[in-house]
Amino acid sequence: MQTAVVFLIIAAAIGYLGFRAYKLWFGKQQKGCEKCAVHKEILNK
Amino acid sequence: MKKVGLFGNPNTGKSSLFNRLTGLKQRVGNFPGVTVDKQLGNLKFGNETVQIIDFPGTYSIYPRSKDEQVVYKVISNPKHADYPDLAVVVVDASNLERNLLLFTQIYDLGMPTVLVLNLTDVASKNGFVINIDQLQTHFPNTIIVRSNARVGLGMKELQEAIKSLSDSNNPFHHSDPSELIAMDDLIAQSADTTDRFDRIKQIVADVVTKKENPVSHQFSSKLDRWLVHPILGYVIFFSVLLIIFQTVFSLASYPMDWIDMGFAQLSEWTTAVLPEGLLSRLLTEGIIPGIGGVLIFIPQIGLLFFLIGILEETGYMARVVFIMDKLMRPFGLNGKSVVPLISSAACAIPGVMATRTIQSWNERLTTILVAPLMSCSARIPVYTLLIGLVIPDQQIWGFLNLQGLVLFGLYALGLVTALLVALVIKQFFRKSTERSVFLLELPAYKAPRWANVGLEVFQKVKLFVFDAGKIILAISIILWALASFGPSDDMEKAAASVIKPTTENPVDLTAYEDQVAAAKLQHSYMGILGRAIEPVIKPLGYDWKMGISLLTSFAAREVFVGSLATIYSVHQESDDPKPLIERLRNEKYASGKPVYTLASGVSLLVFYAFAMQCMATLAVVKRETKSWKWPLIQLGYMGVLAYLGAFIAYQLLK
Repeated sequence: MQTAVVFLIIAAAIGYLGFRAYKLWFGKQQKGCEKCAVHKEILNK
Repeated sequence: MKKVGLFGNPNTGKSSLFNRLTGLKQRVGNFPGVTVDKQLGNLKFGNETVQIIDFPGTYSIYPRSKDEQVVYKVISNPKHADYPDLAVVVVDASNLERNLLLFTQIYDLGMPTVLVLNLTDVASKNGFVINIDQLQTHFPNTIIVRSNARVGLGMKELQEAIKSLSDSNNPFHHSDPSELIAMDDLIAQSADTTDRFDRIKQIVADVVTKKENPVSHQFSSKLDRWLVHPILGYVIFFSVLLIIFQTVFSLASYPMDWIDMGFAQLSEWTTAVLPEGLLSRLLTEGIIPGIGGVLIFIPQIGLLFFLIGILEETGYMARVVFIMDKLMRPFGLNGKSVVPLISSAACAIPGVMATRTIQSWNERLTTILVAPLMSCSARIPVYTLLIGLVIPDQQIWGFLNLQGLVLFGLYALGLVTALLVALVIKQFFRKSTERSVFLLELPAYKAPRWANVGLEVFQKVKLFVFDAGKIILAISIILWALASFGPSDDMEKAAASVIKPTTENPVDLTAYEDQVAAAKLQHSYMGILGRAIEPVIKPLGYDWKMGISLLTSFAAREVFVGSLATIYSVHQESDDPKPLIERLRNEKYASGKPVYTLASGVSLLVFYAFAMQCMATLAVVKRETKSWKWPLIQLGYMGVLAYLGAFIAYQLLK
């Protein structure tokens, strides 16, 4: 049981890091900016 | 939803006003160019909601930089997604003459407008008295509101003005953008600006009276004679920095020790309470040291930003920006590069984003490339751990703490290297023919508002704990797994090969346990990986455990400390938990030589001062430059600089 929980935690940690990396490199703009056309325009220059 | 555009010159308190109206906590500062990020918020009147858009600060509708172009593009195009239904123009009441230019440009377009006379406290301290009724006669189609956004004065009146103008049956006519001069017609723009200033001068003479010799103005001027002095200004600034670092080291050490001991106790308690097994080991060797490795640095980060917050609130940071501008000019980083670089001393991400205000692409690119060399807050945990470990806690000349002095030296190293790299880029790679102009108005000195300082500290600590903390925790768990497991039964075989203490061979039991732990770790997956990279890092004076921490901290610099905390907890007996720094101090090679010496410690410090170990910054650079080329070049040149710097430091000191 303990082993199963530990492996789940390890899998969650790997998954979390993968998710963060994906979001960082392939995700949308910085928090807030995706909603704001003004700053999207600055970013698109 | 109706849209309200918030316009104004830079540094007129627009962001403070935006925060007051929307209840958001947008970053504010008393020098221009602070706001480059999230700038949308909502204002509610009962069931009705209007959207507030905080536009980049600009002196005129006619743009000079990329961020200023946005205002023109939005205002000139009623079909634009952010074209406002009404404009709130924030002006600095203590400098109406300069601020009214933008207001008259927007007003003359016929857009429903609210004129906010902000910073009224500064205006009255400077001896200005504004006759609002008289001002209203010059601009009959606007609602004039007096405000002091710092303390929330005039917000109710402003909300009422927005509400009345956002009603569809407001008395003002609608705007006509066709009256705008073409963006590239500089001659017509210049003539228009001159005409407007002539008109504004007459209006100001009519509505503003000035009392002679206001006290605060005299005080600020007297202080500025010293603080922005061409020589003394730098001496004072570097002394202030030195005092800050000394304070950070001497005061933060007490709460840090408490946190460290607290986590050691927690680990001990968890071991005693939980049944023996993998989960208990994950908690005591992976998760608890990982979290402890993050939380221990809260006092230092909090204290540093508390002191910097006070400097910013009093108005001193604006002077720092001013004197740094002069310092940076000979290196090709002038004008608008100053704010991004100073922002990078907290974090390179907003620093890189703040370069959007720089007109010249070459200047902007140079600033982006050198910004991560400025020592950011993520380096603080690494610096303070290593300084505490290898630099003696002693006084120099009776009053200077050596550890604080080294921390100051590392910040100075970052700045000097950034300037030198900028000079090299300017001389050999990207010559800029265009020069950015930087306008900076020095605000009057004020007493700090403690709520603002507290908010800044809270936000910085929160970002560190919850943003970096989650990554550190996840990496700690993975490291624990890599250190706890190994291929087939290699670890057990290695442990069994350690000679057991017997009556014929009376080895100290603790020494035996340490040898078993070391043997297991060396044959774990992490040990195998660490030993594979050891030849590359050995010339820098590092062992494989440092190498693993160096690798994991490519995600973010502060991960280094959490990784060390985890690596040094795995396989250790927990009945006598020691703080991390003590464990590192006791770490020895097989020859008995200590692993963490002055040479290897300084080598690591130099490595972290130069290395580009922040995935988030690289991602932002890629986004801002729209290319993989520049983040890769940045990663490459900073990596070479870090490796060579660390190599030289180790070879000289060993």
